[in-house]
Amino acid sequence: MRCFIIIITLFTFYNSMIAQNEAFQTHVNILQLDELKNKIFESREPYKIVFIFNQFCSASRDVFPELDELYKKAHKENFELFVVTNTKEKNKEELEDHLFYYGYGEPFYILKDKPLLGFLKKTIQSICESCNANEMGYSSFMVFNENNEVLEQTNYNQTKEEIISTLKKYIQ
Amino acid sequence: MKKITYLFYLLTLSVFSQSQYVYNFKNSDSLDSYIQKNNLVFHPEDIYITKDFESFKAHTQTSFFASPIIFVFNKEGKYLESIDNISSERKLSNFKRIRKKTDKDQPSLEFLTEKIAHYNSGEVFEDKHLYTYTFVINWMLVSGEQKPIIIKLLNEWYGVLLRQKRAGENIKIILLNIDVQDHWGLSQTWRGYVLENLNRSSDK
Repeated sequence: MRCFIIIITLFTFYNSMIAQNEAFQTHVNILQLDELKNKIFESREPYKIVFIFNQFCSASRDVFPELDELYKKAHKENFELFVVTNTKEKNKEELEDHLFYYGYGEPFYILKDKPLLGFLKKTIQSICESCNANEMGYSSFMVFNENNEVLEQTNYNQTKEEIISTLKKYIQ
Repeated sequence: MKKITYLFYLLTLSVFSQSQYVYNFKNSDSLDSYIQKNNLVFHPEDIYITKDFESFKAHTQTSFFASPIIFVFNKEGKYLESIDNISSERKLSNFKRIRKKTDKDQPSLEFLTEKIAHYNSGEVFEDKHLYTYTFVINWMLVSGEQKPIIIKLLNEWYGVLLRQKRAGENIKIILLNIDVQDHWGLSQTWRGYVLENLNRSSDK
């Protein structure tokens, strides 16, 4: 019995050492909008969260640290997160540096066919036809269920606390 | 005469010192307590302090006496540049953006390291030129309304440098606390003089 406890303790210690020393990696994917939509709608997770991000927007910079904290603590068993950024493909390295600086390991998506104008409205409408894109801004998000029905759509009038409280329901 | 000379040193303290910072003597317990209370992610092995009052005086006469700021040195211990909150995201996340040319007008790393010691063990730091870059992060036990911003910044800086280390970058991080220290063993009168003059200087 004592031997078993020692083995378990050593195993736990070893695992925690590995986790502490694991090299951090960012996850930035580049794809077409249609490919992203397929990825979202083919996901079998109960909740699919599509978060709209802009590296230089104060609202995104304000909300994202708390989203990141939730994401890091989450078991990640019943949701999939898609962070769609307005970053241009040629600025991928700049985005990666930003994510590395803050230690953001969430999956980010850069659109190869990012529209020249109206990224926010066009992208949101393309992903969610029933959503009111006019009410949404950077740091807004949509949640779909496994049947791809819209469960939540946040808007720019909501406070940070309201946004985080909604995220908490799904990021577990 | 000696007192007058010391007072002169203190009165002419660098303008780089933090404005409105109230100096007080610190020790390893007060540092530990501050780190714990404010959730600073500092690893104890990286924390250093100024080893004695003579070193502190010399330090205050240079542009290295400022906080919070990062000073970067190359493998030979030559000064490259300073990084502040404006440039930190670009430079600390991507070392390609760190200045390569050395600045000969600034003291070398040795100038700093010969004046510091580990905050707990008192062990002196010896630069063996083993690291591609050495990052010296100056910090103080700040209080008041700026505290949350500074704590966040210090955690960001140290956090990103730890990630760089884990990613394989051969770097050394020195978290240099530039407060005045109990263990210098100054008499009560001297402590009074030092604080009075430091605090007068930081009010300016």
